[in-house]
Amino acid sequence: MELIGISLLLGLICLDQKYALQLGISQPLITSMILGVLTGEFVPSMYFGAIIQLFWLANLPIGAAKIPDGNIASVIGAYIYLHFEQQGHLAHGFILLAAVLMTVLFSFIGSEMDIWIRKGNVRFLDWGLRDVHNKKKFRVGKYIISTLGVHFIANSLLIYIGSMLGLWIMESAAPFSFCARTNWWRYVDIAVIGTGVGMVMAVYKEKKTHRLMGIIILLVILGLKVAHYA
Amino acid sequence: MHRITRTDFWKIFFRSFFIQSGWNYKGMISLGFTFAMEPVAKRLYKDDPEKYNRFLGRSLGFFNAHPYFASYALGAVACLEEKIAAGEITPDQSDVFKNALIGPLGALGDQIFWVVIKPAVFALGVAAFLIIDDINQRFYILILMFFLYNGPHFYVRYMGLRRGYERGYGVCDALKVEHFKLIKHVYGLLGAISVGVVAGIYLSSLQVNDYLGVALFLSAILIAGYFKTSKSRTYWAMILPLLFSVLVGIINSIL
Repeated sequence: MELIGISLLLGLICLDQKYALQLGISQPLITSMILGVLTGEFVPSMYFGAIIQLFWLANLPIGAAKIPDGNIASVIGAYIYLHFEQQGHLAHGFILLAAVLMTVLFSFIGSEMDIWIRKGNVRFLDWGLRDVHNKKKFRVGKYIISTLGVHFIANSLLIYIGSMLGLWIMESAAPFSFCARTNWWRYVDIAVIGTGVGMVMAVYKEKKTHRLMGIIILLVILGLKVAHYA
Repeated sequence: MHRITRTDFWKIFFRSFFIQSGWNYKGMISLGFTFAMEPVAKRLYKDDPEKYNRFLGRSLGFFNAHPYFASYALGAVACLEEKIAAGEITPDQSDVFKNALIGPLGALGDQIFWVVIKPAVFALGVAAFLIIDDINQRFYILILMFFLYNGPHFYVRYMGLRRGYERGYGVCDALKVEHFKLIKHVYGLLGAISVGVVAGIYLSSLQVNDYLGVALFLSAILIAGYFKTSKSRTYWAMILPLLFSVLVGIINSIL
């Protein structure tokens, strides 16, 4: 499916993150599955979605707090990852690192864009307040649809531009030999998953929770080793 | 006295899913709150455009809450608006009560959904994806996750609206963290176990003599955890472990 179509569809789904429904369908695990269906690359898409998912679980949208726009950014990262994994001439670790760094970058850009739109939404509120003083019955729906439209366009544009920019950066870097040096990037997978676990630890601060996690880790390792040698 | 009907109730329920649409720094979720309250206005003041507009104007006043728990406020305000229409209370009394709900609804929702349920459900999903390779089974996992997350979500929205409407001022009794202790405990356990499983699976996938890999994995956890938790530097927490891994990779390949 073309990038424009992907941007529009996932831009619409990403409204679920904050502004409509909020059913959790904009989370990277799910959007990566959708992207996998659209591109035919299920396995790498789901892999990327799973490892990047942990990055955003500790982001708490409390009150007016500014948080990274991880869900939309993860779509961009997943697209870049899939595009170059398909080609196969760059080192996997380099592709993964670039995709994750692009995700982090666009999570910041998305966050700033979100703040800008929220400031703009004050106009809709002001127009609503102006309308209540008119003699005609005030209709809120038109402002809700308008603001959702603005967010949808912004999401789609961000995904499209972010993906194109990421592709351009990677294509520019591809001729350099370091991109194919597997040894340089061999630990990126390990670091990405470790980072995700470290990030999610921010919501599990109690010592008894850490003890439980430690026990589970040991049990899992023991169980898998026993199963392997059995 | 005019009362909202069952149809109005469901209209408010479905409109509540857009309560954060139009989020802005002046009214916060007031635009979405007003959208959800519109069926109440239509029921109580359909023949009086001036009172209709005044009611919606009141709803446009500053309000913020957790999007799911805001249903408690929607129900309570619907109940109070019926009393206002009947002349039993004044609009100011309703406004004061609505403002008083901001703190408890926000705190409760954040504690339960953002801190406990969401991390637990999606950490479980990540753990399941690492264990299960089959695409079809992963699809079933996603469906399970959808219900694990949205079960409590829909329950809070529906019961919040219902209890708020039934109790009005008395809705505060329903907003105690003790009522949600079991769900917090169960999902908290689920999340902790899932994160442990993710870490355990990945550690055991590393080769037995890959001490550097194990050290890097643990150091990535520590660096990310330190910068995220102690320094509140989210972006550094995400970037530094990755750059460190590249540095180690380069040094290792040179040596």
